Amino acid sequence: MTTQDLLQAGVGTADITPPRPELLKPTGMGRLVPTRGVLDPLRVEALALRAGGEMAFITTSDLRTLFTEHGMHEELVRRIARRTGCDSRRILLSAVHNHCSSPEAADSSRKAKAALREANEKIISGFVEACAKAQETLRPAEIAAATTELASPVGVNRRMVLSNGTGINCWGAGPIVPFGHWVVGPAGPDSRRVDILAVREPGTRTPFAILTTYHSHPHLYELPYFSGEFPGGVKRRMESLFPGAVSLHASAVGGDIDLHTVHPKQDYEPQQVKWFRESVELLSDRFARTVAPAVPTDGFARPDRLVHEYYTSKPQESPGSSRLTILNIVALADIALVSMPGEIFHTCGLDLLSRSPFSHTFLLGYNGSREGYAPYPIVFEQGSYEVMRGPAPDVDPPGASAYGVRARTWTAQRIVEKTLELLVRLKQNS
Amino acid sequence: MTVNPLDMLIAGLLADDVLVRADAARLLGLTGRKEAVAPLAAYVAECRHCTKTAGIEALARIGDRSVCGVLRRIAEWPNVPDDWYWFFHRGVRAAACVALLSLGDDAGAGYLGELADRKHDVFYAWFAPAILRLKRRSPAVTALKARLTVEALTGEGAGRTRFTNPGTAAMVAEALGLINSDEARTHLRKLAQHQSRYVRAAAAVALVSGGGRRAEREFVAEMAERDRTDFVRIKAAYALAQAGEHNRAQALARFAGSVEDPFDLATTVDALGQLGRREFLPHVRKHLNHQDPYVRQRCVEAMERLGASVRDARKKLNDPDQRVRLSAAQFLVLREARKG
Repeated sequence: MTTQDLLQAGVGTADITPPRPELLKPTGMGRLVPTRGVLDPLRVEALALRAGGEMAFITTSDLRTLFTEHGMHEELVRRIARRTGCDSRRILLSAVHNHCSSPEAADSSRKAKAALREANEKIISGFVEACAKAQETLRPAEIAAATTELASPVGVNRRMVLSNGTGINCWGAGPIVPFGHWVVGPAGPDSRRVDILAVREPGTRTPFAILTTYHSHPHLYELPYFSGEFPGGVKRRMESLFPGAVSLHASAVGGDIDLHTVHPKQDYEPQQVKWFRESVELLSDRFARTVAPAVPTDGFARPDRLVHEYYTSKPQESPGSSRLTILNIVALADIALVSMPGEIFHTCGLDLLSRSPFSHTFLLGYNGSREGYAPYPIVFEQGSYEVMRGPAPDVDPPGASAYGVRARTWTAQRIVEKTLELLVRLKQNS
Repeated sequence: MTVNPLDMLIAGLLADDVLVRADAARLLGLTGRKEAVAPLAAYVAECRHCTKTAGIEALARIGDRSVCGVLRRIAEWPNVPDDWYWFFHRGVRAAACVALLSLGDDAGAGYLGELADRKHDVFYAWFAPAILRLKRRSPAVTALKARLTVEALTGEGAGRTRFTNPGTAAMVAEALGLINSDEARTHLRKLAQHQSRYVRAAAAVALVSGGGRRAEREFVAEMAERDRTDFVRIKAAYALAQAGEHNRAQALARFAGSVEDPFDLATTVDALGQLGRREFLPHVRKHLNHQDPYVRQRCVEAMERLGASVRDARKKLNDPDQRVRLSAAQFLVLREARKG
């Protein structure tokens, strides 16, 4: 081992706000009125890691998704690899499922379509630029990880169980309580766990990069604006508490975790915008108040080896399938970072974390592969929005659309088991 | 200082937790006490969460027509966020309309008719049983009930997810049980094969509601014996016991001693309470301190029906879970009323 083998890290960011927002609208929760503009800018962050001569990138972004079916995932990885020389399988992508971000054309006009092409190109070049900046700023570094539990609710379980055993969505997503029945309670746990990775230069006290991962599926409200929403607010808040540091934030797997019940929504747009901004600040503040004191100040190490595992379900999928699953894991000493699909239910994520052989495992969800909810089996029997079309058949019938995203009853469990298999193998190799 | 249990229930309407507020409303409705009407009316007018339908149902159950003005306003403007994509507005409005109809006010019929015109699941699934249970025979009620045919509930007009989503499928099963025609029973037999245990259970109960014919009882008996889940076996046994097969009640009592899943256990305890046979009290009481608060809550409510002593309820006024405490308060209110 030489000092050259010891960990180096660098960090970079880039703006990915759509240049012509009025011609676009955020995807997810279709908007009913024309898009007005941008409440706060969208951003991508990249952390470059190099140890033992191997390099990897960890990326986080304000986006809802990376649109695998439109080739964005592959295009991103290809262009980052070409620019930085990094093995494409060590480029970990993630989004946060923020429903005020990833754009689509507001209508079918040529202008709107051109604006969408421009916005998507800005997203892709933003990722490349952030990674390039991170690579350029590589410097000797040490890392430490911690886990904490939020003191006040931020992400709550959005499903409730009725007295007849069936499930309904609560908070903002499809609630109804019929006569003769009552609510038993939430269908699963709220999201409290936050994993924190701090990166600093040896001999210094303050980190220059902080990665937080938190299980959620953020969509405060379907406003006709682009915004970094809660994840953007978290990053602003963390950066104000750690001046000079770049905050990277990923939503881990939280298909059933929403941010809805904090306080009542308003009925009209000006008040809704005010409510939205206040909600972002309130939730970000709750998050940062717990997380900031838990950012590690000791226990730092300089690993001399970076190992990775990669899995794609491509050989088993039909061409262009939305079911394509990509798992991408990088490990440094006893810390593993996993890029994976994000709409797996929270309980499955907690199961994965509890069984991981690594002391600290970071789940970076919404990597653009395997879009769609993936709950644990009983949810298909309970019902609710996420599974209202029932489980997909075990084998697609002839002629089935490649874009089908309905999960099978075993989808989430298989992703968890496959991830654990890769983690175990990595642990053995590291 | 002794707390008045009715005051405790009314205070529950002001709790921070929307589920506690809804439970307080449900329990107040079951007491039938007129003193609850004004606080319930304030709750349903002020609360901005869909769970306030529990308060609307409670007002309908108490039957005081002085709240019709409040309910009419909610039927027009439900004071919940207008989540156009979902059910918030529609569900609360429909609840107010059904409550109005049960109170003898036809003001809600128009909106329910609109939902029916749109073949909406709020009408054809979520509130179909409540509409079919309306006792009044006004032209408006009769017209709405007439729209809830087996064909309308199950035919081509049914929304694409009505039967794939277990939530709506279970409500349709309940409605078909109330219709109770040959055609309805044929559909219920299909729903008894649903992938969801909760839909199968709803179908089992619906098939023998009102006693059921021999063929249906045999069909449900098969479910009680052979379904792969405890939940369906519990509900099927309960349905048969309700239909007069007393040996099935013993099976339920055995379940109370063997099932491990808290929700299944709570369902069993609830079923034993519904049967109202005092001999089952020990099977229920032994779970009164279960670690799951929902099991404890179902125990308290079942024990009231089974004639337990007020001593048990008083102890539960100090339960760590507020919803259990509210059920204990309701127990005392009901017992006081019976004594009076």
